[in-house]
Amino acid sequence: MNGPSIERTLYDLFAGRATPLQKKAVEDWLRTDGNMEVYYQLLARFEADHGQYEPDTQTATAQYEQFMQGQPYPRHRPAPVFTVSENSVWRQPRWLLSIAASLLLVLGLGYLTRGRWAYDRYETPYGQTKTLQLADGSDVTLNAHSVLRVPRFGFGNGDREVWLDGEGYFSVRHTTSDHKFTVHTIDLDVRVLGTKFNVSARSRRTEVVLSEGSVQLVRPRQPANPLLMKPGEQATLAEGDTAIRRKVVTVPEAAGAYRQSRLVFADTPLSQVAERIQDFYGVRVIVPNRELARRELTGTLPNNDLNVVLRTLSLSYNLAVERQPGRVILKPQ
Amino acid sequence: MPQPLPDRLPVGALAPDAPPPIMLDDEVLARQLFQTDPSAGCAWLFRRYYRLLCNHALRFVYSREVAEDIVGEVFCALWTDKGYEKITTSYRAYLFMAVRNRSYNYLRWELSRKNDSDEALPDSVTPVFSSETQTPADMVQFDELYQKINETIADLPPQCRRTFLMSRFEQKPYRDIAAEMGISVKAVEANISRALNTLRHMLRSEFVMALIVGQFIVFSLESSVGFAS
Repeated sequence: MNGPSIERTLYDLFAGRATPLQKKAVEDWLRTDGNMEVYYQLLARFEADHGQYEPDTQTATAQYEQFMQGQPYPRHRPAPVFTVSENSVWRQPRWLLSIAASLLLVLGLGYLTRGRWAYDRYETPYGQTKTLQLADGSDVTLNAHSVLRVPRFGFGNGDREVWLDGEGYFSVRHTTSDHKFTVHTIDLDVRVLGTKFNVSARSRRTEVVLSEGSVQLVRPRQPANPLLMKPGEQATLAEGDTAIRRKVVTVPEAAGAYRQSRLVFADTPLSQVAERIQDFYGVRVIVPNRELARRELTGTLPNNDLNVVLRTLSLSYNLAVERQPGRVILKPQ
Repeated sequence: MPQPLPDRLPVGALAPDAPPPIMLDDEVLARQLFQTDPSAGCAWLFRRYYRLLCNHALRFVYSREVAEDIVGEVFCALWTDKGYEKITTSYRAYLFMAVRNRSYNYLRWELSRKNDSDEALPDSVTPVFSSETQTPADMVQFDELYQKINETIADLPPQCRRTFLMSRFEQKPYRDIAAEMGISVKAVEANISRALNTLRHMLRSEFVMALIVGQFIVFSLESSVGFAS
């Protein structure tokens, strides 16, 4: 790396265009004395060239000059509260401190990595589903592109908790001692005793469809008023929604149809059909025509192969399918 | 006193035999000012770097007000604690490092709050970076961090992103955002907490953990060295 090249590499790094190799090269380069100064020199120049807004330097400088003469420097917001640990800790004898620090290190590492060792992690790639049995005898079918985390120790003794990102069909075993089973998603907890239901926690919305029994929906931010669902109901919490919406679904099996490698739609708008295909195969599906996006589809498709799904859609609903790398566009014929 | 720096800083000091390009630097000017009148030196640095530092802090905290407060804090500390007497790097490097450290601490503090509603009192957290020094790995990780933040915000669903930026970047009250976007204030709150949650998830990812673990190791090594001596 010579002069102009390091300059370009650093600019790429600041702009987020650097490759991992370049980052490593910069890290090595920074170890040489004096290069840190060059780094900050270029960072300052980068900010001068790529500023995002123009603060009022004039007024702020005047305020700072008054501050140096004893006036308070005005803030926009109250200062964050930080706990200060330096004073008390550093008076302790050194050996005590090093033992404490080592202990803290071990505990800290264990605590920080608990996501790795304390949970079993089940993951499905795009285009595949997986069925598993949990230690308490409950069955779960994971839809494509989903992750389920289950505590590795003590699962099944007492209340059961799992964490879902994606979609899963749960058939929960009722325990003799009435222990609860909770599925946590990013914005909704589903609490049950023993029952069958589907949970879909995708980026745009979280959706629960109950096949049998009853479940309680709890929003972690409002734990006081849980919602009780009845069989055949669907509850939806879409992004931006403040309340859970519920409705009775005509075809409750549609929600778990991926278990039989099928896609089942019942008066489903094409925009949601597109999302389901996107969630399953990981390919972007775009419906640019608004009227078409609202058109509702009813029917069952085999769901083993993206090409077959698209061809069936195109034939049954008279759509033109345009394939591009990484995405699919559905248009009116 | 700051250690003497070369009057001119080489830009490409990588290849030892290649003649390094020379860049004129105004650090010399700042040092002369500090020797005669520290308050003039501070004011000069403020006028010279305020805009650049605010823009840099903005990449981390995504709020003009917070960015300006952070830069203000750095300069206030520079004057009150006579930080300018202890600087061993260039003033520029010191200021950028201090702003990065404070932005990082702020971010950790903000995202460690249990509740996102504006009234909620924050839990206090221990700052991770308390001194103005950084390793090469830290420096590169800081670059990665603000880009990750940028990407995370760019990847938010459009309405969520718009709400977040209107609230944070343009400092509009929830009421105005709701009126402008034709949604309820509750929906604005939901959008913003969704955005913050996404950021929180992102920050929990590997490399921020690496930063924190790195601090643990440094802390424990420092203590062990103390024990040995």
